[in-house]
Amino acid sequence: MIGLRSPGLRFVVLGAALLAAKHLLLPDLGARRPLVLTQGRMAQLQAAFQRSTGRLPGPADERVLLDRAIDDEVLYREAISLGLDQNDTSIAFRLTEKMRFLEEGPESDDPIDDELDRRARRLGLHENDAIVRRIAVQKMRLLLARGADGSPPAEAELRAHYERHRDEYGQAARVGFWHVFLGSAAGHDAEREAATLLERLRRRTTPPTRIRLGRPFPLGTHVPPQSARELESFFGEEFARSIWTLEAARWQGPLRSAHGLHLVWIDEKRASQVASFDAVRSRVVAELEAERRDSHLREGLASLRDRYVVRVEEP
Amino acid sequence: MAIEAKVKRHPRWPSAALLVLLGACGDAARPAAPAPAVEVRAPAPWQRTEDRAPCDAFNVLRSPYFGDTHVHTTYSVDAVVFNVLATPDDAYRFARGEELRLAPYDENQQGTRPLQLRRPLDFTAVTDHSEGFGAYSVCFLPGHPGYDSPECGDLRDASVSGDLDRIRAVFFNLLAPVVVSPNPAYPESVCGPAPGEDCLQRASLVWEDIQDIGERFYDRTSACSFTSFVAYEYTANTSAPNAPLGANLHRNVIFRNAVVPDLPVSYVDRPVLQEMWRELRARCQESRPGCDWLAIPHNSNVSAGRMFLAENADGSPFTAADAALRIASEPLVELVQHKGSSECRIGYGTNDERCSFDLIQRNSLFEMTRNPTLAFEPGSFVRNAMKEGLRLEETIGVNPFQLGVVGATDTHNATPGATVEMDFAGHSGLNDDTPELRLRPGGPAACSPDDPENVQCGRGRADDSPGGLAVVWAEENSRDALFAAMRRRETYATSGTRPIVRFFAGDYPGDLCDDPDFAATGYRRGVPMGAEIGPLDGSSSPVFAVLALKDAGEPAAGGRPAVPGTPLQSVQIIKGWLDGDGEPQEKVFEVAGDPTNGAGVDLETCAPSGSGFDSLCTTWRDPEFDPRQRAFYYARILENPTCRWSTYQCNALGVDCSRPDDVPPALVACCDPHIEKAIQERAWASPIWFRPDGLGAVEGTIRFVDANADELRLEVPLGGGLAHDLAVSDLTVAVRDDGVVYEVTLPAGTLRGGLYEDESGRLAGVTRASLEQSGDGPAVLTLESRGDLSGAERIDHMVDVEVRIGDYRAAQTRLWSSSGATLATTRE
Repeated sequence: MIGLRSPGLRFVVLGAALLAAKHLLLPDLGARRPLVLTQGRMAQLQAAFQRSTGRLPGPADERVLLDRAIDDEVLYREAISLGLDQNDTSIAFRLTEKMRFLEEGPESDDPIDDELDRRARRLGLHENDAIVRRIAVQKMRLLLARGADGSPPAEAELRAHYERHRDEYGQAARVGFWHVFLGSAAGHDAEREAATLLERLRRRTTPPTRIRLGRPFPLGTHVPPQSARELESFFGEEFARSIWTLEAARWQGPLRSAHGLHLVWIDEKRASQVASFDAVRSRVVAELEAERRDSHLREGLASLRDRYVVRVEEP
Repeated sequence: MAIEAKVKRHPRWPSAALLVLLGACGDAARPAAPAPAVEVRAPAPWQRTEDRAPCDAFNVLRSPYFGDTHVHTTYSVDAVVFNVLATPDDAYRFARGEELRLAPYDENQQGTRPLQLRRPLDFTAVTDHSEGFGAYSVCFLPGHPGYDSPECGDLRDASVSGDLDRIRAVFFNLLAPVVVSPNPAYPESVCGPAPGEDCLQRASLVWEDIQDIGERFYDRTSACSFTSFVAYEYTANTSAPNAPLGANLHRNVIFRNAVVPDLPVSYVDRPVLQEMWRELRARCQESRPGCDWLAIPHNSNVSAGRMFLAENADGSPFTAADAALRIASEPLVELVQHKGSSECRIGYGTNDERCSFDLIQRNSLFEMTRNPTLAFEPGSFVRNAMKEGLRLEETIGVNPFQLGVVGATDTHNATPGATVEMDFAGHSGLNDDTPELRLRPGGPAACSPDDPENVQCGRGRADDSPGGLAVVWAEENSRDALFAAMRRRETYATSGTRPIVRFFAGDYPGDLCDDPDFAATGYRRGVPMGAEIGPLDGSSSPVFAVLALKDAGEPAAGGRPAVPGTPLQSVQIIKGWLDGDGEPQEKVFEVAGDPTNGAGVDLETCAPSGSGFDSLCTTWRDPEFDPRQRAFYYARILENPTCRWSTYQCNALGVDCSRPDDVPPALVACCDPHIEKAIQERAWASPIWFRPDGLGAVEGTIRFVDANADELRLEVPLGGGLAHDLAVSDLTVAVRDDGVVYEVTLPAGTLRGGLYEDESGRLAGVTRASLEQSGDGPAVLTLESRGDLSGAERIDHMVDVEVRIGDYRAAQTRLWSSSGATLATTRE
């Protein structure tokens, strides 16, 4: 059952943005023939389900299968009534092939033959052909997803989307600091060295501009603002936890990291915040377009289904 | 200047293929986002090509960013066939720290094996196989005639069947004509008549989707929490006498930003590598402003010696131009990943014992058996390629294998960065979803007798591993910054753990390990990993400095306790050079730590024993240095021993190798002496190259006086031999940060007699240029110029000085310091 998880819908949604018809309205062409799902059709669907999953469909599966079968039939009929099967190379290819087979005509290099295509249609070979059907259904989905109005989302809609999803644009709290790294080499009393140095450092109360004490640390003596996750990755869990408890703008410590002791001067501490609308605008556009395509498809499908009387044959 | 250098983001246009598919036409470009105001704290030595906020954590001295440059999802046919349904979307979520549930899937289509990174990644490139984009789409999404082809039907059925023999047979039948053949073609039944138009149309849908997903996960805010790259894998194989099913020539193509070609250039489009590079340049750099890419080859270990051939497809040897195209296209190589390490192998150009790490017993990609007596090719290993590169540079003038290194996973489970040995959950869906499958032995016995055509059945899995990580030293976590760092090779590979490693070479007075400003001094007076350097201070060796911190460890998560990082054991510098006869040589130097510290690990409990180092720092001069010899130096940092993934899993299964009769046949790999029980995780820092004809310690000063009267003075030590060329070749000197600060070309002969003076500065403001040379030895080029240099930022930042003489090209980037009205290489 790859279908359920497959990214197919995304493709649909994606392609829809590219449809060019500027203002597509779906004409109601009057009353539809009732839509009948025969026992045979249902049995086919169940067999296909079993083939692909290795199990029999349960009641929930059957509902899904039925729903899909109705959607497919509706989409197919609407696609044909809009002529979506016309001027389609894949369909023409299919029908040419079918006609050649029927007429036992000569093999040809030309995969598409307009004359054969026309003759095939006159014979009704396009009706209920599985492939023609699938192509038509997919095109119809693309059309629906695009919606009646292809214009880009308005500023107000974008802002509304941003407000609805504010929580998802959060930015983690960050802390930036100067530090004196004292290491952990055996045979030297880092704790004592730290205490002595801290006393020395505290005699100065102005922010450091350069550190000439301690041992080299790969990230340097000034660590730009980092989130808890980044601190954890570089310094280990204990350091990442304890630095948040320190005050800014004075020498403090020592803090223990995975690599030894550090004396720390925090020069930047910012609370977690939500990114501004401008900062995430392009993401909002992408998300909103995806959302709109989903709902266009859903609503479009629902309104088309309303045009049909559906009968399912009882077993 | 930073702002002017920006390139506008180009709206994407629908490909022609798509319009045909949809039977529609017209302009459907999406609206471009308005540019956020760009305020740059310090100019980087790279251009900003994107509309995005600069990062809050911008660091002129650069920070290490951890990532994975090799990731497959359901869009790769060799992933979906093993019922991997996770999308690029899932892969990026996983990289950012969200849980992913791996195959097999339950009746609600939920994966049944949860996996989560305790430490998320900073960046990821999803690199699905471009050759399968179309087939994937045709076979799994109804709509094209090929959906009903027997191949697609088999693929879908096999994928959900869980029957591995069947999956492999189907997979190979479908794949062989596409990526194993030297004349690849799409199967007509799936893709329609040649050239496979249906698959090409569908490929663009997959490609657009990959781009869209990449965009959604790329953090363009100043928080810079995560970077995605638009990327793909070019899946080439080549025929070789010792590899009947083809030798692996795969590489990942990574784009700099969102400006990319309409379709990837795949192996089917351009089966010849050189043509692939050219075509990609034509569709990218040469036709789309802002477009740029680099490729990272991988698994040279299964290339049957073909990955680093210095010849063209017609067998002609590389010229300087061929070599230049290769190195411009491929500055990095993937040194380690799940199909083993490619650094080196004892008996094939080396006797270095530390090469025996994560080696796999295959010489080519589709080798059937795990044969311990197999022969290998020296050309399959990266260290040999680096040595060969020196030889080529000596003979043709350009080194095509001046390669930096990264590690990656090559996961086919959409699990970037899942490299922790004790958590190894396999690599591709149902192919290795249980410990028994992961440990299955190879060899003919593993193949079903009624399926002799099944070439993959005999492949054992126990010598696979979780793979490694790529670490990039960059100013910030943005695409431009990371890409520029990859391009200049300021990267290191790890076998999956997260030590932090700095590596510099330069002219350092005193002991850099006593200098708390290690990195600042490192960049001021020398160059970092991945760069090159010329003669310093007469004939003495540059000082090499390595600073390494152990992995800080895994934080507690989901009820599991924290896991401390493993202490470091030792640091080695591996030198490769050309001897007096022009023959490549290599030597391993122990430079820090204690390789005989006696640390170990209990193979039953996996508890470590003995001690190691939380950090190591050392400075080292090459005791055998010869300034006439081309050389490279790379650093290898070893951790204390820990259990290999297989040891954890064999222990959990209760395998007791002291009672061989009780070991189930399916688990014999647990006791196979060729499978290591303990490993030493490690990091490899990209080499620093010593070029006898390179630039020595460049000295430079810019004095800001006023418009059109700023002064530049450069003193550039050049290697011997170049002075002769100045009579016949132009000399170009360029000074850049994120834009060109200054550039001048002195026509051939200008420096005849060694001196050029012109108070009026007609030639780009040059008032004086001189070349002093003693005999054939090194020369010093001095250049003084007056003009408008206000393009240079008045703040401490990286400045690049480049010299070109004919075909010769050398550059050096150093940290220049700003003080008052002066910007200079040394503090005044």
